[in-house]
Amino acid sequence: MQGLVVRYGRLVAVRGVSLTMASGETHVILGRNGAGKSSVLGAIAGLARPAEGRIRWHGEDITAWPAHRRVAAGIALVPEGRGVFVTLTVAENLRLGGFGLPAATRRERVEEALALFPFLRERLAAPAGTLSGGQQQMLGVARALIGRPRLLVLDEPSLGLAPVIVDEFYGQLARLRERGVTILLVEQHVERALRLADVAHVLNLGELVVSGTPDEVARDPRLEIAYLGVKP
Amino acid sequence: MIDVFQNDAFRFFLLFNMLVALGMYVVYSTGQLSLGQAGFAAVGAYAGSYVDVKLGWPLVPVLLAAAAAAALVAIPVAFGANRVRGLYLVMGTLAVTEVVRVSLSNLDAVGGIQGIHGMEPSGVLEMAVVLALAIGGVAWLMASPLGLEMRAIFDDEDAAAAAGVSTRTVKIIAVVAGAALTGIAGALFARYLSFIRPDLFGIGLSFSIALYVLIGGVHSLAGPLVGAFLITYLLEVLNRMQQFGLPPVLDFASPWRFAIYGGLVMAVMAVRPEGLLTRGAVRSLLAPLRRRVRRLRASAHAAATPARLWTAGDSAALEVVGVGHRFGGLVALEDVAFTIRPAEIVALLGANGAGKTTLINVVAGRLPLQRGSLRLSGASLGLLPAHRRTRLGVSRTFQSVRVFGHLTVGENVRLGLRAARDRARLPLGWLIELTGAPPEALARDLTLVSQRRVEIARAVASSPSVLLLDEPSAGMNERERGELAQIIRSLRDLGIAVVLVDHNVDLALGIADRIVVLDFGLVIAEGVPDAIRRDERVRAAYLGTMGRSA
Amino acid sequence: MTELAQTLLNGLLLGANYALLALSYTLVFGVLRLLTLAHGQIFMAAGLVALVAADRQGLPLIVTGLVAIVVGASLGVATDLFAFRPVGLGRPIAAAVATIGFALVIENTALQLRGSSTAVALREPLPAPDLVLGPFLLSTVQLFILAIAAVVMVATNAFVDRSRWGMAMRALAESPRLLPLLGIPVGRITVLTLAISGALAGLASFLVALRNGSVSPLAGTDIGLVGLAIMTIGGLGSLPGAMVAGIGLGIVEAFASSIGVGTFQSAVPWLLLVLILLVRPHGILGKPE
Repeated sequence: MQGLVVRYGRLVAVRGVSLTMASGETHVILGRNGAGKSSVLGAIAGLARPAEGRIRWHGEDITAWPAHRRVAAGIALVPEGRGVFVTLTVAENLRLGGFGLPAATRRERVEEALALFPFLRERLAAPAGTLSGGQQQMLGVARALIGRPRLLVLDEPSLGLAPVIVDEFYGQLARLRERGVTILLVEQHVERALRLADVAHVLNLGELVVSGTPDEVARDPRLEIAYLGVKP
Repeated sequence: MIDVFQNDAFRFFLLFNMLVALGMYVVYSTGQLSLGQAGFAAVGAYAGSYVDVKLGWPLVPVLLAAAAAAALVAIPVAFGANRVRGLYLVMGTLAVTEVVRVSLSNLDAVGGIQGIHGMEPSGVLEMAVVLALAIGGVAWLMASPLGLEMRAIFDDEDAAAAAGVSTRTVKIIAVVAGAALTGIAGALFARYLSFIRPDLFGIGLSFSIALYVLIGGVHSLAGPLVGAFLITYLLEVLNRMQQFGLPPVLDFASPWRFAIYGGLVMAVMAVRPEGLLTRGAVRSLLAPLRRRVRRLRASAHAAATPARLWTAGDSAALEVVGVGHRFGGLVALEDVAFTIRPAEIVALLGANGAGKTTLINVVAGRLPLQRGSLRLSGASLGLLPAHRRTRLGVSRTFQSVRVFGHLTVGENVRLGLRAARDRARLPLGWLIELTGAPPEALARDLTLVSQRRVEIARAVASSPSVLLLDEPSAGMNERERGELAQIIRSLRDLGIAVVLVDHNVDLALGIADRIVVLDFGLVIAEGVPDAIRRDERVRAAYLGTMGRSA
Repeated sequence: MTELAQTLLNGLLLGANYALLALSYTLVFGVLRLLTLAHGQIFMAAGLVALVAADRQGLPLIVTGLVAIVVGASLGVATDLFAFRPVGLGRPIAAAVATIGFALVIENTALQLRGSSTAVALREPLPAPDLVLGPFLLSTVQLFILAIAAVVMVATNAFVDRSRWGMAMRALAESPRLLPLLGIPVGRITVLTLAISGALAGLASFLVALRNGSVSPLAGTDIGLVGLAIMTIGGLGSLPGAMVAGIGLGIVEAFASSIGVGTFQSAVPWLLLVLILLVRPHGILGKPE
């Protein structure tokens, strides 16, 4: 079953990036800051229009679709900085995740999300701002999951989190992966991401330089070049 | 359309509007959007008229009296303005206009609602001379170091305080100076009419003045002048349209002219939200001039390595003892203590919410010292506000980069230099090199990483004995982090005591001489990097599986 | 009815209208972080159109009120489309200036179409006070004003706090960028906010017409500024604050008038503003950002 195809060219940030995902796979995009990773995610989520290229989702061309339509189609983005509303309660954040759903369905899905992240159950009435950084990150993922997305996109989820929290978070991601969720991840922490992914892509200066299995990519010298910033 | 200029009244009001716009510009250049300018004009008009009619003073003393009266009234307003921010400030100053107007209406000594009449007439010539002098004066002000501080406050008041600017004082000066200018304009206005009444200086005038500045563009002196000119001209042209033989279906003596004006205002805001003369536009107009200046300046700066500022030794640069801080019921810091000596790098580690930024804010003075003590080379810091601490030698950077976006790189750094006081100054050329960016670039046009370096250079420019860096490596790749590490080490070699907060464990463990680990507001470990790496409590609270590598 | 009761009643009637108007400003500011300076003109235009229509078509009172609400809501939406959208959500000062332009457009179009600046009167004369409620003697219309105002205020608060759309509005207030990622189009929320806000202004205008008996085309600026002052006194962005401040100012003004402060009457809101800000720099119930 075809997942996602992105062929994408834009002079400013990203040039001719293509990737294909199949259902259930976990892909990670690596690269240093300014390499274009967030731009690719932005294009997939519908926050930015690519100047060239197409995005195909289960066979349908969605390049022109606005962000909220893509969400309805099953693409959920958890943006950099967690994507939670700190002035709203945990419960309200989750409710927002199921905004368009009939009440009964939404309640069901919230229960599912709480089963995955049980610590949220005790904090339902608390403002999301009282949660720690790592808990907020997990709330952001829980919120995205309410919509039962077919593709979960995460932008630098470990940013600003203490290493021990990042461990916990990746444990959760692994669990999600076991349940068959398709995940696209953008990361700076090479080691952690490679352990999780099925396929890895490396972006350097806006171009896709390597794609392959984690082992292949880890051994490829171009990975190091992309990170140390040695100019070609 | 040119013959509107033949009308004497039009000429006068054109100049008048430009002068009041200039007055507002002085106030707003510190970010204080004052809608009280009509009130100051009224005070000046009345004071000037009173000494003119009742005491028979000549022109110049009349204008000085007007300026003084307006400035006097402005002082309490300025102090009040310091207590409120944003829209509260705007509404508060609007209240000033109305209160002044109603008060003057009720003051029989100055004629109540009837006002004063019988002033010596002045015309366009006097107004033109005053305007020219005012433009010269304001230009000089904005080019001076005080003007730099004012523009910094506009961009980011808290960062300006952290850079050593006495924000309260500068803001008060701005309000009072702007009021004085506006008062002079009011007095000349009164002389032109030979009478004044309170209802001539209403809320409508305050709004009009604000529009001149906001539509003209606030980032240069020319903006408000151009705004006043264009709007006055446009309204007059719309007023006179029937004289130009337009078909009678459009009757411009009617309200339509204001509706058209309104529509144009909306259009301008849609296209140029920052005003017609953006800072970018003015810069490109002045570009040839700047190139010449840059060539002159470039030769003056050799990037010499600076001499050591402080000597390493045993006496502490900064002592933190028993510091505690609560936000309401939430304990953010509990009995935190550590010492740092000159030429030392201490890294502060801990999970989000562990209290690292809170500690930096308490040391820097952004948060009040609730419990414990802070000593800088033995002297107590506890009660001093942030900008004083910077001037004494405690500099900091912010977690989310705070540079002055509308100032150039050079101006950002020079602002920091002003806080160096009587300490040895670091060479400007070396500081500019530290930023890694061209000195004439606008800070907001730079990448995030460059902005961080500009912020660090600005903090270092005040020759601090203690430098607090809050997450400087956020957003940097490995090469940039390496450069940052080099920079921090060179700062240590100058003798600066550097306190580093950062989540990049490799960076922190790599360059620090000592580590302090916070968890839930408590110090749970302190020591050299190797010991911390192996510490089980630190592992559990923060490091996790990381740190075991490398 | 004693003079005290009379003054208090006047104060409540005035305050009810003030509170509704302040609510309309606060919704926009609280949700969109934007200031609109056109609501005074929307207030005026809604009342004007409603009374003119009532006059020409012989409409009953309730329908007149509905016309005012609809006109208010439409002009609110127009503010969003023509003043806010072109400027964007992130530029509050430019957006506010754009609404000044829009206010000029509304006011002068109304003046032009009306042909003069004379007020429009209610078709039917107001009934005399004949109901006795405790110490108060009021007319059915006055009771109606107070009741409607109270119901609407409670309903608006409940809507923002509990309903789905109210939650989306609060989410928008915090972070406009996050909303599309949840599948909620931002445009729909801003239109809804401005529509409700405009409707509130229209309703307030109708209620004032019921109290005064007429609407003047020049009334927009003054009432608009007072509405802004009330929102500031209550605390920017606080719905309960707006209501408390509105009712409070109404009562203060009524008492000032009964004591007889002469020309200072028009300065009462502004004096109150200065006093409150000196003691509480963020308004009565406002929160520091």
